[in-house]
Amino acid sequence: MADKVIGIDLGTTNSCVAIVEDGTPVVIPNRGGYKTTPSMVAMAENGKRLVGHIAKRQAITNAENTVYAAKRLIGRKWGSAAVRSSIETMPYRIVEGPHHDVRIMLRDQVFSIPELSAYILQEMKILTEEYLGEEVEKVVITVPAYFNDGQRQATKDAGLVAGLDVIRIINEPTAAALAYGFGRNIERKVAVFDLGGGTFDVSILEIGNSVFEVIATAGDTFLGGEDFDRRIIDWLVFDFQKEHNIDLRKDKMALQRLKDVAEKAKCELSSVKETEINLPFIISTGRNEALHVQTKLTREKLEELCDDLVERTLGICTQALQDAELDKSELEDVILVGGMTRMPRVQQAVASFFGFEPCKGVHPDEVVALGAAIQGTALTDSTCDVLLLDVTPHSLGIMIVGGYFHKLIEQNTTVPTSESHTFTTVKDFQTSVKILVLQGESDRAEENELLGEFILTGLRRAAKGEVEVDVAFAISADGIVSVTAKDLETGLEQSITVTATSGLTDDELRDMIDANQDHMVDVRSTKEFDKAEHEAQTLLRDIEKMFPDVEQIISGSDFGQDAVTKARTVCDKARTAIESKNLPQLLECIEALGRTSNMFRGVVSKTR
Amino acid sequence: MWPEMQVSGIPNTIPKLGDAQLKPRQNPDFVPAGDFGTEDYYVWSRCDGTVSLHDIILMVGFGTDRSIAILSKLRHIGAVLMPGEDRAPIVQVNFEAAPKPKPAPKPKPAVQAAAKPQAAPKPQAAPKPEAAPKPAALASPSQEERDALDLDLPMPHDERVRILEYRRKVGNASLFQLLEIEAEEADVRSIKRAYYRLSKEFHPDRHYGKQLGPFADWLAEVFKAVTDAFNVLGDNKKRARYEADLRGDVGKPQTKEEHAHALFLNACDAELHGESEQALKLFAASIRMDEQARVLRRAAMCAVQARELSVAEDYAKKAAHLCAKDASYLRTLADVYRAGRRLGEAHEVLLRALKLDTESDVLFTELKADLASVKASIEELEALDG
Repeated sequence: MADKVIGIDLGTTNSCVAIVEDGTPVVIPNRGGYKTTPSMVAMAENGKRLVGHIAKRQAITNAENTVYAAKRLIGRKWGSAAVRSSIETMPYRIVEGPHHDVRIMLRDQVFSIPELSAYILQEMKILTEEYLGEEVEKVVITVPAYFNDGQRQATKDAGLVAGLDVIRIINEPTAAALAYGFGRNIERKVAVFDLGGGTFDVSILEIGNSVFEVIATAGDTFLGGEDFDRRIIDWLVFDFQKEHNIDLRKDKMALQRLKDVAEKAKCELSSVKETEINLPFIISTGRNEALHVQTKLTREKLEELCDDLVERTLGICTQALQDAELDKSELEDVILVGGMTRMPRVQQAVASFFGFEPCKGVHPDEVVALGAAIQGTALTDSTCDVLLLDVTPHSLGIMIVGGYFHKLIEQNTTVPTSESHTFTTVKDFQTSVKILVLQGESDRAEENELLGEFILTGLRRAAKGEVEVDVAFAISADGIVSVTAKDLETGLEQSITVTATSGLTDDELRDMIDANQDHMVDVRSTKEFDKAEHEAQTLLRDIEKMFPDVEQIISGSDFGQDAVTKARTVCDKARTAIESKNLPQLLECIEALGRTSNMFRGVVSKTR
Repeated sequence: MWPEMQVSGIPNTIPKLGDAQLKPRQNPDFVPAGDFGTEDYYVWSRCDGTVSLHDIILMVGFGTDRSIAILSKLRHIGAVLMPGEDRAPIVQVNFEAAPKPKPAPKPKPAVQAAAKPQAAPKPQAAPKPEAAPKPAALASPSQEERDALDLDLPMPHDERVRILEYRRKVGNASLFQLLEIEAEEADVRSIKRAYYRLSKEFHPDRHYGKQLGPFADWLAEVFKAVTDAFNVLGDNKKRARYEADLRGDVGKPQTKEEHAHALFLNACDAELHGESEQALKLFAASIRMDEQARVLRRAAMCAVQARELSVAEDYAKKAAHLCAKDASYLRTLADVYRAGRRLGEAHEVLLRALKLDTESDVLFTELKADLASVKASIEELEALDG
């Protein structure tokens, strides 16, 4: 049976592979008998490629040629914050690729990130084949829920390079929920709290009748176990510098050793209250004298160092609950995923946030791969009853005149889905429109991720606003985005399927936005919008007129100052809503404007 | 999304059935079975060939949408015939459920005595015993549908029929019908269950990796309809609004005032959709029932838009008369005059308005601005004449 589907959890620090055998999902152990394999790739002196445990074992002596945490770089653009921080902290050489992408140099050879990830995937493929005694090809790979389209695409590319057929990319927390609910006849809402090596994700799901519905998902791709490690490193380095006036971070060898010891100490402190940190001969002073790091780290101190990181995860949980329009009390279980959830402080924080003890039944390192294998089986085996209703983690839309982002598909919309909207030209005799397809939540186009672009030409020469272009978005069940623009008059059509990121930096995107004024589109305003705009403008004029009086009357009182500031904010927000043609936001603003106007009128009339 | 549902009143064409003036009759070969409910039966009993679709909808009192949905279902399963039709193929809807015995024949509610004998519903023969469930057939398939059913695809015939049938419902049936649940007994949990059940049927992942031909797009389309229906009904706020919309169409206005108000809302709706002629008619009807100043003003503005200036003047005058103390109504009258370039009269009306003690500073300023612009126009004209 060559069409068995495997599930791979391609983690930041460790990877895991699983398969469904006779209806039961099982993790496949590697040659060493471990259920997880370090996500590490190294180039040995003789040019030999080392993957997994072997790579990890030589990491200290060959730090410059050993890649770990490549997941932090996958699908990222050169110049982005994640890349900059990796360049600072990683012992290996990160260089710029030809398409503003990121490459890693190992012994004079340049590798792309998907390539390096592919070596890990290949390793997982090989150990599965050894275990099963047959070839495997189809795979479901998991990614953090908050990965954007570019990162997902790069992960898919990695699968391709590894000789795998990636039939689906699914979110890690979703996979965890699949493994949690598989084969159990349950009907409940659960949260998945996934604190991994590099990212944090939280998802709210509802399970019933073997259907797994993702209700909301939120996360932070810059928050994970490595941030905890870095806190320990910073603490060690700070003390060392105080004592010897040497910055250990400048020495790559020292840094690698610090990193190892920090991770080890963090893990140990999950079970013991105190641990010794010993780094003999960490650095030489150049006078034939070596310095050592020798100290104690207590659990209490670690918790103090990382307290704000734990707090941040809880803030994201609150946001996910808000997105799901749920109260904590409606949840029946919390599933912990990722090695970092072993930390007692994290478990305590989760328990006190949700008001009950998290689920202990799943293995935090294996559950994601198991879920991926289940989804693979659900897709290919008609006897498997499981259905996953997934959502799109980011909003999708296009840029409109003024550099605003007009959303067509809101985040957390169940896929597959489709949506369309009519736009118009913004200049007289404009004969082409450029459609910039964006992903993100910001009102401003340049703050979102550019997925692709295309131009629709051959429009009728007409006054601005007369030519109407219908833009339709569709997301398929496997998350592929396609966009079509159609001239409603001539029927001319142009479309793209978003397959790869452009690899543009934020600056370039901003330049592009500025340079393309001739091809802008605008949202065709509706009667409802015109009505609302009129109402808002009247209120704005009304308020503006009263501003000087009001400011004079209440000057000096704190309360008054506060009110004036608030009123200014409300007015600004309303103006933004008008410019970006955001009807829902405008309607909200009108209410606020009405209140402001009433309040102002009250103030003015009382003193007359 | 449900274009027909938001406008009250009965559309001129009923989806799947045709012109609202057509008179449907029962298909004598049809045997009620499966999920044929009492409401279906009631509507069916009205189809006697003498009453038009329009009147049936009025007469059954279920409200426009529900009635239309039931009628299209009856049509869809082959229970009714349209004029000129011989016999339509019958679709048995629910094979799992054993054909229920025909509902106890209710006394036929007063079928008009003038019913033509050949069109009058023939008493149904006892249900013909079905030997074995035939494979599901699609009622009067279109060319596209027939082609899709004939394609060589790894998808069973019954599943295809089911998808095509469901696809026909999209846009016509109520959201409750889309989720295949009864509105009355639908609590959050059963709505969710219905959504999950239908998702398992229609989510494209359930057919992953198979050649689906046109069904690939149709599945996505149908699944989106299921999701959209769930997103409304599964959200208490949205559901309440939706049900209010349904009722708004359904409940015949009780009092004259309420009826006038409903007409007014429909008029505004028509105006928003750019149908000013239709809007003016509705405004006029509303005003005839209940003369309200705000309706008059809105109608006047609409009439100006439609360049029906004498009508507009009439409305604006009436409104200004009704609310003699309110300067804003005078302003409307002035606007009407200005639209007709009757600047002298506009000037005079604005002066009158400014003499009224207005509470709103904004209005006062705007009146002044209006006056200034009218004055300027007058002077311009005079300069031209001179």
